[in-house]
Amino acid sequence: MTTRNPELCWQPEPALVSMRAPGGTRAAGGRGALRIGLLLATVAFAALWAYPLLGFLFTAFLPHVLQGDLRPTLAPLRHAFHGYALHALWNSLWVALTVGVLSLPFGLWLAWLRERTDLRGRGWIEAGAWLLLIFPDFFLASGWMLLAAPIGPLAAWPMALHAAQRLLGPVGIILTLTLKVVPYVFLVAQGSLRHSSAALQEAARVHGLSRLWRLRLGLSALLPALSAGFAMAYAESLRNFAVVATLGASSGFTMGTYAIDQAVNGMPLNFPLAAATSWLLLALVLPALVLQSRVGRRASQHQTLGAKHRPAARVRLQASHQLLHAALLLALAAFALALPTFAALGVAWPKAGWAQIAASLPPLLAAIRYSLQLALVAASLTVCIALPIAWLIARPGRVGRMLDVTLLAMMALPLIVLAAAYLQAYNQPYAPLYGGSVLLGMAYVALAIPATSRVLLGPVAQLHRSLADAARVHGLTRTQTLRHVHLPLLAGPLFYAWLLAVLSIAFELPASELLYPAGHPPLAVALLQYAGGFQLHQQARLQVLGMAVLLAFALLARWAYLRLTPMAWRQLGTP
Amino acid sequence: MTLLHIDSARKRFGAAIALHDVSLQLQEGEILCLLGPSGSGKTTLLRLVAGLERLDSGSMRLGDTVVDAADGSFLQPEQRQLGMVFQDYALWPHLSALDNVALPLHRLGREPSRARAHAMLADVGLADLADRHPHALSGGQQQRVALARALAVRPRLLLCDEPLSNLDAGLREELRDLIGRVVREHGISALYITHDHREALALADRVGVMAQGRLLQLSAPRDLLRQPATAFVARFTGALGAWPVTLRAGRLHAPWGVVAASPIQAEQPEGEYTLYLRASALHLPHAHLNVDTPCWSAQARVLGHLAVGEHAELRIDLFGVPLRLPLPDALPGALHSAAGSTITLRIAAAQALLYPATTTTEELAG
Repeated sequence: MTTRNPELCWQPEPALVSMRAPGGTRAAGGRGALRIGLLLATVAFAALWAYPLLGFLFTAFLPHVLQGDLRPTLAPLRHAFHGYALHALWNSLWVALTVGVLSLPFGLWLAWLRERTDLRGRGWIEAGAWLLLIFPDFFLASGWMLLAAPIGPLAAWPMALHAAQRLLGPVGIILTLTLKVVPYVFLVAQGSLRHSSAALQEAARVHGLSRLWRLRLGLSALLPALSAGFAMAYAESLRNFAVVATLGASSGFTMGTYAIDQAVNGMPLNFPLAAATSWLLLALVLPALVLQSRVGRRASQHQTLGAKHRPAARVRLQASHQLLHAALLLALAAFALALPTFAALGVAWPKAGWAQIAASLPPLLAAIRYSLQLALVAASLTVCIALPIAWLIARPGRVGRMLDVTLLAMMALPLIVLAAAYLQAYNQPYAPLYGGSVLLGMAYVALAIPATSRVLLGPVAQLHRSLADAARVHGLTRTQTLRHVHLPLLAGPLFYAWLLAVLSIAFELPASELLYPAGHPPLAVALLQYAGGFQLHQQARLQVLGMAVLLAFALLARWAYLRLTPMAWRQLGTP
Repeated sequence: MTLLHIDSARKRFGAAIALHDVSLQLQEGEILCLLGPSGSGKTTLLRLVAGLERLDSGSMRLGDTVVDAADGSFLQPEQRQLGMVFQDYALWPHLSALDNVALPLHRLGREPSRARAHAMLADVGLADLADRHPHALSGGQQQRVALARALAVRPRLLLCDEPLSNLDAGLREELRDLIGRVVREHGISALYITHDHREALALADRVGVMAQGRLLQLSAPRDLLRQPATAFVARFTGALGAWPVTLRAGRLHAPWGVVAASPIQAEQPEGEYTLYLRASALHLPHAHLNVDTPCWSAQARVLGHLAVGEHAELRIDLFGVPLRLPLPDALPGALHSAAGSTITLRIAAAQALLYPATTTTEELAG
């Protein structure tokens, strides 16, 4: 006996099928819906990005533009070229360049081990890279702080403690940022190695090229990936706020993003200076964008026509080399992930007794609950907006290309700039949203949309248009096509994009720091406040508790998704 | 003089045996095509010659040099002085066409290597596109660059790994002729892998047919067409069939009746056979045949007509085997309207190919 899976069967809905109204009415209805959609999109774009960002950035030249005063001045720019701001930008530049250079050999080494060797357990490299990628950077930095704290796990070893305290400053910042950006270099190098055909190296061998020449050839073929990796590492370091706000603030070492924060978060408030500093920071990010775009174009040109891909043979590592690489990988994992986590665990551990810990929990739980609640709402809205954006980008045409470029620019924008822009734009008499959760939620949505659209772009682009065409031709209505074709295919990517957005929003720092409602610090802000107030036990407990709660939430959400969705959806849609 | 000498080459990948004791010799200046379906072992054999794989047993000599042998002798690919044209072109994507050809010549110095690369590109008709990168070249142009690169190093032996399989039909023919011309002009020996019997028959001095890691037959194209060694070789080189027949008392009991066997067929032991026919052995009723040519008559059912460009083909069913025969332009009108009716074919008896009735596995193992 055969059973029918109700999710995979469909019957034409008579009511919908028979609703074939005269063409003119349908077309008019469609145009009306399109107009409303376009209007909503325009309002959303203006409210989320255009108004706050343009208003803020113009403040560098028109300090009172939001008050209607259009008298221009270059004073804020001149101010930014002196003293503290310039020093911070200079620090940003050299730190970002150093991080970019340092991340290359690490990323290349990991990619080579993963793609070109027979190292046992090499699949864990990928898992580790992704783990490092989603591990909040301020948790890493906070872990280092706790490790170097006089009450930390190294307190009994003065020499080790002294060495750990070197991490509170530029050394620690460079180290933490390098660890955070190595996954980017790894992923682009891995892609390049994975997609280069074995025949390229074989052709070099058969035509008599020596080992040295082959190495040169291989490296020059990898150059686009390495350049892209460098550009990403450099740009990410320039954009970073959390690491410098934790490790830098405690040692007096400042960088561009922190200077912007100080200009709008200290006294006196100086939005024109923050805007001018933002311009200069953007000018530093711009070359990376240009490099990445040029390299991307060149790399896509390297894709030759009609080639049958055969992956390169793996290098067989001797037992001693297997052991050496495995040991180095374990050391890296311990240093990057385990050490900061254990440092937090060590400080959070109940020396004072469980009763005291229990008494300290309410504010910690309140911060986590608030972050999670806002993250759930903001991530859901983000996915609702990001999906049509991804769909528009995937379609050929000018709108898609424009959106693509805009989103890339948004992704390169330091989050602190957008947060500062929100602080200024929505703290006006005509837009009094500052101080409420709505504004913070809006900022979260605006910050999360570019990355979420990118995550959804691949699955949406893979939905071949002919799938929907076939459904329509064979009698399915738009609703049925959406329900029976698009939804099953996109369910998995949508769920994982939502989960990723929830986690990134729950751990978000720059917007939270500048926009949180008084008395309701989100998780990241509470952590920073405890660090700033030297309440290290609370800091460590919040770090441990936050990680545990959000990890449990992610596992629970995944379990619920797997449990509640039809089997066919999971098989089709799960990445 | 023998350039390549392969003796009992055997190669295994895990549990799968890719080559079963293959032996062959390739002469100086000869183009030898290895023909076979996917998984027949032809690419493995080519990669062994290139040095990209190593023999499990047997030996291989290039000229007087042992390049691979079970005793551990092995010459690295870069020391074998070979040229190779890859199926996926394998052009270095970040180098221009000129640099792709010039790079393997780097020992000559920059100017001489570029001059020779230019000359080779001119030889394959790409002098004007020398500065283009692979992405800016069509598939056919990329393969010309790959051919120029392979020939520029003046190899002792040119290896071609299905170089035309990614190209469309028209381009395949053009490039096949180019490869044949250029290779012969340069007096180079070539080992050429393909799964297209027309390509192999048009290009090669000798053709080897492989299946399941075995070399089933190695002979000149004409002999391969006339006397395929096995039913598989017959089928793979385009013979039509199969029809079950019985040979008894000098007569063949075929589906279309009992007919006289040709003298050669009659010499074979009596029993069950499988019969194959080449299209050239099938003649429509109007065709002029030498009166001395012994022919069999067979009734075939007309399925319809098919226009193939400017020409037409007749689709018929000959006792369960669908066939397509070219229709001459001056065809009696009766044949045109005969869909569903029958026509009488004449079959040149001497061209019929007979093989003992066996299963495919027995046939290949034999």
